[in-house]
Amino acid sequence: MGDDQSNSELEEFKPKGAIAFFIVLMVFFTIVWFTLYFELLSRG
Amino acid sequence: MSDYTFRFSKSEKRLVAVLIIIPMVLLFIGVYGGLMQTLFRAGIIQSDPFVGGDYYKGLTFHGVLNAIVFTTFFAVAFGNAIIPYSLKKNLNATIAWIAGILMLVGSVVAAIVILIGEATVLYTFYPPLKAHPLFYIGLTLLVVGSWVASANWVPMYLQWRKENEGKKTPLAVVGMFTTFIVWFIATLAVAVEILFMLLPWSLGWIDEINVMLARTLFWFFGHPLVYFWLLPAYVMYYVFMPKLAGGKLYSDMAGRLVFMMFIVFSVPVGTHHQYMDPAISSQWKLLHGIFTFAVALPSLITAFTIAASLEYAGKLKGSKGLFGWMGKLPYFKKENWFFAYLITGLIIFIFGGIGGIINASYQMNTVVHNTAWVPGHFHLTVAGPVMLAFLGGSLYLVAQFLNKEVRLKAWAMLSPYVYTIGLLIMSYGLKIGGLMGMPRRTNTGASYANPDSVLYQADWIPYIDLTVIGGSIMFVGIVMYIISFFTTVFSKSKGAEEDAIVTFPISEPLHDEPATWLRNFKPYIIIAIILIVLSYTPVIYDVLQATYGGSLPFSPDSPVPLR
Repeated sequence: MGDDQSNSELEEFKPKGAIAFFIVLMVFFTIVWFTLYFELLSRG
Repeated sequence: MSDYTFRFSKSEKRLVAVLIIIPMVLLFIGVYGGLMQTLFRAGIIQSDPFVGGDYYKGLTFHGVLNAIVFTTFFAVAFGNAIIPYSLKKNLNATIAWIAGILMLVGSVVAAIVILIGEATVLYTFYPPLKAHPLFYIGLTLLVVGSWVASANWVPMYLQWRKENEGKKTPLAVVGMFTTFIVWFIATLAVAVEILFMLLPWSLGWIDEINVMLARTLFWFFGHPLVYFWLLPAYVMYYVFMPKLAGGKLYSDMAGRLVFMMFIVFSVPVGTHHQYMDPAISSQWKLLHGIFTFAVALPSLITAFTIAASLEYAGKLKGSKGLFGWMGKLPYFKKENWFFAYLITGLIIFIFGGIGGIINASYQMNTVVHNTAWVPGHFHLTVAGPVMLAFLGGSLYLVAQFLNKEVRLKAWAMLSPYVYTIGLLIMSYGLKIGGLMGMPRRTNTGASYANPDSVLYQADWIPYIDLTVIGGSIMFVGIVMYIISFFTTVFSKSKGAEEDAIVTFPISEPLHDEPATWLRNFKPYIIIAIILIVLSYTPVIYDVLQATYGGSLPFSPDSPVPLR
């Protein structure tokens, strides 16, 4: 029973949550990077 | 005996325990030095109340003991444990002990010289600051010992390959060999710096030293050193963490690809630490900057792969929705205390990672260069994921190899969370202070944070206060850990030492790709050597062509040369 459940999980699993997490991570990185970039520009 | 246990010899077990316990004492001295740093910089103390000496001596032993000594010992001890375990072969214990003794003698000598105030040169030991020759000799012994220890794994591995033709090398072994391939290449440069420049200069055999060349050789070593720290943590993320979370590693191939990418890109990046240095042409600095972006890729692959592995674990526990898996992970299960060290490290690394990308972004480096932003950043890497994975790994190893049950598990489990809260507060204070212009390395307590000084900066004070609060919370977290660690070490064994078998939480792969193109280190080492030659030849040429003269030795407390 446990094995069956595991096998079906194994076949069906698509890491949609990890993809979403990765996209959020990239957005966060972009925001922080541009914050510093605009700080650089503001210093002339 | 199952695939997941292995019987080490008594000698091997004792060696691993010694390589963990003695550096733990040195680590605690270094952590104490870290707490004192925050108090010095806030102007709360002017001299160390216990060890004596000034800010720079404390900064030196904090950096050397925590960032160089503790990390090197853990990497060797972890390799001595996980490689024999994974290959099911015993170490050559004699060679392993010789290596361990070299490292111990070297570290203790270097630590004593620092503590008596004869090597106040910070962990970068940049000339023209000069240390006592024994400091350089001590560091050399530490490095040579680590070379001997890693060379001891090679015959075991070759024998295993002969006996297991066509089989994939266990991922943990790939990771640990990657760690030491990067270490060996990187330490060649610092060996040249120490043996041919710093040591003869310190002994008085030569009068002057080429500061720019020494700095360049240091950063040839100094940035790959970051990956030497990170890689054993990555081994734990890939090999242990999915299992600890109750799942599987999403992709075995991703782990192997990541390790090979680190071999290729770890070294030709050092000049991004020298963006503001003279003597090196800007195009070569830019090239190193581009390679630094390349070396961020394996970390991004890791972020996705580990997230997918944790999501799989969450799904097995019935999570719903895109982010439901995050709520199903064993954050606060004291029997699964090791997971807490790995997950907190990964959370911290989100902030450490973007900081590193900003530092490497050439012109943006001008915003943060030599400011408190930089220690704010590297505490989110070496004092974050690296430190926490190594602390968790040390407790796990010492319990396994001494056949003890981990004591005060609730403390052990909570310690990384307390530490993480402190670290995030402290790094925030350092980073924002840095953006306002607060310098790194400098004792702000004697100047910018001193209301009696003409340099006093009132607007920096709230951020300096945050570093004191954060640093103090970090110290509490470490004390909780140390109590759990030594209570475990001195507790009663579970049974006779010789009966003990060692086990590690090895994760099964969900996708076990053949990845035949990732099974041999050789092509990746060759590519790495080509990139190093291409990226460093013009840099070294520029440095040697520069017309700067050599420098006499100095100490931090006087503008007059020592001779």
